Amino acid sequence: MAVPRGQLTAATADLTAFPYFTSVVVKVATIRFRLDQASGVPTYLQLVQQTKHAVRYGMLRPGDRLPTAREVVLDLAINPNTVLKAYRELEREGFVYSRPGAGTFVADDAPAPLARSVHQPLRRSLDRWLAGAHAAGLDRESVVALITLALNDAFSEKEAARA
Amino acid sequence: MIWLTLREHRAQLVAMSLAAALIAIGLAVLGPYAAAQRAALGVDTCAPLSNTNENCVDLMIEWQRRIGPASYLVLALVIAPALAASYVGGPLFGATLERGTHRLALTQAISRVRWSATRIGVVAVVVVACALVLAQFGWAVAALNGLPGGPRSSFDLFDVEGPTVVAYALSGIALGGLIGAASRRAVTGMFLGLLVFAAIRAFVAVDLRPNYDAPLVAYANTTSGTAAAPPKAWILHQATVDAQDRPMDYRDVDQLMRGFRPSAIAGGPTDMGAYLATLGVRDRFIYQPAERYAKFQWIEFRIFTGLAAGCALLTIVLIRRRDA
Amino acid sequence: MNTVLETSGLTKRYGRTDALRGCDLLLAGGKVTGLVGPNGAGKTTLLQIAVGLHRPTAGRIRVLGLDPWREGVALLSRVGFVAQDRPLHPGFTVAETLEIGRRLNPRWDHAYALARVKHFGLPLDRPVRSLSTGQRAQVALTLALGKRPEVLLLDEPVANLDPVARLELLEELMGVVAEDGPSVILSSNVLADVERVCEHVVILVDGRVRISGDTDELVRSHVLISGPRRAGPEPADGEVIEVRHAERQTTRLLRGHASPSEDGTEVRPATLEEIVVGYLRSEREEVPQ
Repeated sequence: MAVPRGQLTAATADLTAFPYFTSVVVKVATIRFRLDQASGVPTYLQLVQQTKHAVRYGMLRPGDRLPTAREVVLDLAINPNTVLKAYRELEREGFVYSRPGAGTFVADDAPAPLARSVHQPLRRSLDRWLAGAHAAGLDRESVVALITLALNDAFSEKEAARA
Repeated sequence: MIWLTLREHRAQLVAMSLAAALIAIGLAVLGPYAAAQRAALGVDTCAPLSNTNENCVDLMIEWQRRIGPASYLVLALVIAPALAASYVGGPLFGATLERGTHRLALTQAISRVRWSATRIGVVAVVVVACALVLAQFGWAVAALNGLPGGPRSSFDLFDVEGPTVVAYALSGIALGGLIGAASRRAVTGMFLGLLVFAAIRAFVAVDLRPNYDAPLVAYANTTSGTAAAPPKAWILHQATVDAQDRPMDYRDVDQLMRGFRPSAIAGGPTDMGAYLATLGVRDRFIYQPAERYAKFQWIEFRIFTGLAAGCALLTIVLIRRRDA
Repeated sequence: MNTVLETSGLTKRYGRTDALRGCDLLLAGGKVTGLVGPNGAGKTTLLQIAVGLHRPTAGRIRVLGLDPWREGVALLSRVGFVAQDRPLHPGFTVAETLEIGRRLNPRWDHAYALARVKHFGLPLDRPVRSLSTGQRAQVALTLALGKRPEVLLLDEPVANLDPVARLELLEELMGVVAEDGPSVILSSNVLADVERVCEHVVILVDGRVRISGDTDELVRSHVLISGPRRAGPEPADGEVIEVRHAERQTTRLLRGHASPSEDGTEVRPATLEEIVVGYLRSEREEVPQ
């Protein structure tokens, strides 16, 4: 089961497209998680990232119910506490809220999906930068290394600022 | 647990019950048949011809031909307890321990004592039932052995009728079960169980049984033959003895007999036996009287039942204290 | 914290072999714990003692506060166990196998057991010997689950299973954990499985507990340092678990912290596999927990 890193398979409430989504309750589970054991990223973090990604890109909408821990582990053979940990983290960051007995749902005031007007120009400047790097002779690994360094610096500053 | 024992040993218990039923039916049918054939041929009322009894022997052979292999039924009856010891007793614990399936039962919420005791108990009940049925056919065995009016000695049927049969069966199973449990192997239980059981049976029958009670002694004149022996008694030892109760060599008796004719002519006893008796020479019988038959049966019953109980207890203790 | 299993100086000797030498262990309830170690390390022995099949030579063990050897009946009504070879009576049908559980356990949810078996499409009247290994594993697991246990002890539950059967069994197991929340202690040598499924890991080598800790905590507290081979000790803050020398490079597994240095020494978090292998290969004494 080779899975591209961080990729997400999400479905809307269109049952005919994804017949293997079933639910005990009337509401439909709208996200199916993937696990990449080789990535080195902790499992719960992968779930968190996949959920955030889905919310940001509008694949999960406010009020949608996330799959129960049981549904996730029956699909993914991971520890249910990992799922609960991910959901707690998401709740802490405001992406979801949980109602005992009913489930975990996407929050109404979750960070809004990125509007095209926001991420399209960013994407275009990124393409330009990449072209420049390629012209300068950087291969793929070097590009990745450079970006990773910049990312770590940028986000560690953010973490420090937040704490 | 009763259900589990029955289900697990279904094949053996059914086979054993079937075998017992078949032997019983065989004996019930063929016993009277053999007796009837014997009477029809007149085997026992045969009068021998002038100087040979060949005609009677021929009748005997014809009778044996008519009853055919029915006499093997008697053999089956004799070895039945030993076979049960092997076939049912050996695998009772040996099979499950060998395959590891005992760990399945012992990790449900059941104590080892309940597990082992129930297995032994359930099998014991079935065995006793089979044995009780088979123990009723002493009369049929007598008929198949060709003994009119019953056996020569009441002790002839000791091994195949009465309470001892039940005790043999129980002890055989218990012995096989213990050896199987100790060795954790069904085949060892079957093989060694059979061997040890046969050895114990032989030892008891030959060395212990004659002495359950002090044997009695009787004397009779030498010419009386076995007719002088106490009726239906179990003769343990028979010899011609002198006045000091010492067994005599037949040559010495012949020597003494030289004086018979002169003595008879001189007015002494005309019967050879009576003559020898005047010299103190008689037949001596060491025997167990027929009246003691029931007592002996119950003694041997207690011996083998004790053996069975001991083996069963040992098995339960072993299972309880040993690593599973 | 409720304790599901605790041992103190647990020792088991078979003839002249010491399978367990003075194990000290404290496992909290409500978690999935993995027992990891080479074959012969004592994993099976530990589980068999925990379930009352074998008796300790020395030391003490309590499961759910009960002594498995003396209070086995009370304990086993709350503990489900599946042995490594998943023993089943080959001639029994699936239904008869479940019947064993029903008759020998005071608490038994027969409807639940039947539903599980039906869910896997296992026909009730088929003899066990005609089932595949994966199906037999599911039957054995169902037999352990039918009593709705508080604790599940599983000895190499996915050994000898094909990849699909393996995954299915793990998914089922996690589903049960999510639904009923039993504590699970399973032994395994497949570290990928241990990593995805276990919250707590116990590393057993040569009959001794080398380390016992939550998976997250273990991964957080161990780093792998690799750098050019040199004579003196690394400047590092912590305890070196294992050192491996190649021709020009040295790799160290460290329990603690370290920072990279200018000569090209790299420091990165160790994966669970590297941690386990490091402990397994090293010769050190038991690490205090």
